[in-house]
Amino acid sequence: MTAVPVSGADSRLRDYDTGGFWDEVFAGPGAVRPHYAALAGQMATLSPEEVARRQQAAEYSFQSRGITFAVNQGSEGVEKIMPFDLVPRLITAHEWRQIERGLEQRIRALNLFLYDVYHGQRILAGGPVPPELILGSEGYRREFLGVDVPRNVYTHIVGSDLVRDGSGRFYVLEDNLRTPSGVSYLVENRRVLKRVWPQIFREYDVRPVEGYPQDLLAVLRDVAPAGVEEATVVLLTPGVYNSAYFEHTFLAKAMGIEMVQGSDLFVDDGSVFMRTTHGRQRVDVIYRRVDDDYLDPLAFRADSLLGVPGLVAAYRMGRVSLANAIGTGVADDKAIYAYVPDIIRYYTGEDPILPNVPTYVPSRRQDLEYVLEHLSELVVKSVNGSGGYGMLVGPHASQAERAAFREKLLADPRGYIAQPTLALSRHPCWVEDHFEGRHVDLRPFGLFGGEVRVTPGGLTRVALRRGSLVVNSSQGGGGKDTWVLGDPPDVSQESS
Amino acid sequence: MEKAELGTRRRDWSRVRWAIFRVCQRYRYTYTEPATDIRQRLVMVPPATHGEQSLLDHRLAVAGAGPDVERRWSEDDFGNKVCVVALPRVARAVEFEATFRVRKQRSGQPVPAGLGFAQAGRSLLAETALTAADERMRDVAAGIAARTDSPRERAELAAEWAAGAISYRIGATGVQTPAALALHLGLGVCQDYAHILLSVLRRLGVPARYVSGHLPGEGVPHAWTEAIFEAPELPGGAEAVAFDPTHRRRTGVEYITVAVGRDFADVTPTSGYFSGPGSGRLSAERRVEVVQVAESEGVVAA
Repeated sequence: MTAVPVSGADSRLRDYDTGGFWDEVFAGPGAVRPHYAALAGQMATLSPEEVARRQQAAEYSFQSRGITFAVNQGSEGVEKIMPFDLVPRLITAHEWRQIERGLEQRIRALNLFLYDVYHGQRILAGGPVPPELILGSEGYRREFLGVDVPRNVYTHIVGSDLVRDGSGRFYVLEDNLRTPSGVSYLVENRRVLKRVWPQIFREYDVRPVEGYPQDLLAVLRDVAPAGVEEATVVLLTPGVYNSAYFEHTFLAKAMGIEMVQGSDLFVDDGSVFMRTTHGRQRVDVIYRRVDDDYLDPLAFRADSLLGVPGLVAAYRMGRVSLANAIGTGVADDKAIYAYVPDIIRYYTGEDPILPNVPTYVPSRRQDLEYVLEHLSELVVKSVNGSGGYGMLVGPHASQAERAAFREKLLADPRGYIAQPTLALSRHPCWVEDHFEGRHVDLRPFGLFGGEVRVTPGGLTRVALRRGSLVVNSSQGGGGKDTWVLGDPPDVSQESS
Repeated sequence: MEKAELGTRRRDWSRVRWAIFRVCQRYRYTYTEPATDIRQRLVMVPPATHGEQSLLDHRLAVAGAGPDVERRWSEDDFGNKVCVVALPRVARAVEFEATFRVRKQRSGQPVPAGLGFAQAGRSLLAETALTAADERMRDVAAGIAARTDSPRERAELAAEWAAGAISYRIGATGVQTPAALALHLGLGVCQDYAHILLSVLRRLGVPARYVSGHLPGEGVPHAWTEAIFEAPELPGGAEAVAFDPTHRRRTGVEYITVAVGRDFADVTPTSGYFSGPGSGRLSAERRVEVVQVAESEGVVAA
């Protein structure tokens, strides 16, 4: 692959410092990767005032549509817009093929794993995952042993996080199999960028992402209980205090389905109904954005006010479908994540197409020793945590923080995993009046209703603070529109 | 029978000027239920040339999938020969059998790396997740760097250190074990030796690549490490020197290269996917035969 020199006029691009990281745009100082050449040309024609003006227009657009998320800070929720960076992130057709196939393979294997864990449990007898990790996982729901789910689909919606290392290779950093969020930004970022910078779209063949809500609806309908035609699908939200509430309203509206809270639903004679102004209406499929623990106070946490009493019994009897299924947490437990490549080999006989980030599992004694000795170099995460809470970034942590994690690890080795601190790839972002490299990740979304469909795009999250490696929106991360490019005219060229 | 004896006989490879090897490698996938739309990406056949090795002929047979087998050959970013096989349907089992013959010679002359030195610097210096250096490797690299400025001497010292850094043991590590953990355990297999050496070489500023291949007489595939040095007199301007830290030696004429990459993850021999309700099982088999050998009278200097 040959890089294209930056046109002489623009010093902002010529002076850009890749900082020794894998840069998505620059192959080296002043050398733009070929698929970014047209974009770099356009960037070079924009004055700082122009960029600032478009950036502001984008922010207004998000604000006026109410595209916000809530940050948990004590008891008070704070509403924020996710900072948006104007420069889109581009993924070539070649790169995308690997991502798409890799996710397809992974999602299929994880569903075979979940089916096995809740049925024959073949994997417990000499399989590659230590049985105590599976049976001791917080996400494992013993009560669902032997319960069938439509089409044996457990994870209808998957939002895996991918990162690139210093050599540019993609890795799966984690699988989000419970209630992954962020897809509304994927669609909205595209809408906003089209509005504030329409010119740039003319230069590229960008694959559309707008079909996601309809694809999701098709999957939800497909997994309706047997015998149901014209399924009634609803979205169950925990309510306005949830950080992804905007997304719930966005998806319900885009799919043309009702958005409900627990108190809008009730169970009668084994079936689930929603209260409407015209009386009760039977519900067949619930796209739930409420965690397992809060779904049904009769089955799980008795203090939950978000759930529906009797829902789990109705689900067990096959009267209503839930997406994602109950009990998927056992497959996105971060300690079990470490074994996903083995899980892929075990159930499909295939080698993983997308590699895992090497992961230390401190419940193995040798790993614990290694982790304790190398805390200053590793990222340590809680196995059931998400959103960037409860993690230690060793190289950026203070002595006291590391000491605190040492205690936690010794007290509960099963509760944590550790990974090497990857030199995540960077992408130029507009910072005040110039471009600076910021670390990015990629969260594509896969839908599974028997066939896997990965929306060609994803949420590129940006660690906006200089040098930061944490991209979560709750931790000050921003977003970029993400373009998957169509096949170049010469398709015969598989590699570059 | 005769060939098998030829292959397993103890031989002094340092006396061999050139040899022809025949490698046969087979992967068999068995499915519990019929599978459709199968795609396998196979990296089982070496590129046309790699250093002093040239491919004489090769065959990739697919059995068990009927006549509609589509094979598409291409080259990946590292020059490896990749075959993507598409099969519409497999009832029970499919078998991929790659057979190839290579001629390997040893001239004693520097071996061109097959890529430019600048390119090697761009693609083979960056840390990958499997080869990320930890504090101990950084210290080792710093110690070596303090002793000499010469990249070649540094590589020799690094290879010498890597050979003694861990003890050979099967089962202590797996295909995903990072170099840093293998080093911490003090145990590993050829893949771990190769990764540890890669890690320190890159830390020393020496571009280096992972090599997967075969050795006659060994039951499992082997792996080693190539360091890349600037060599203006060679085509491409770069020389590759291969170290086998598992055996604490430079590689010889009997080392058959199949693929190279940044680390193990780049050279996975099989990967793919299929549709269908069942699951698959993979089994593998391989055989390396020595077809023909030319020995010299004297020992050729390594």
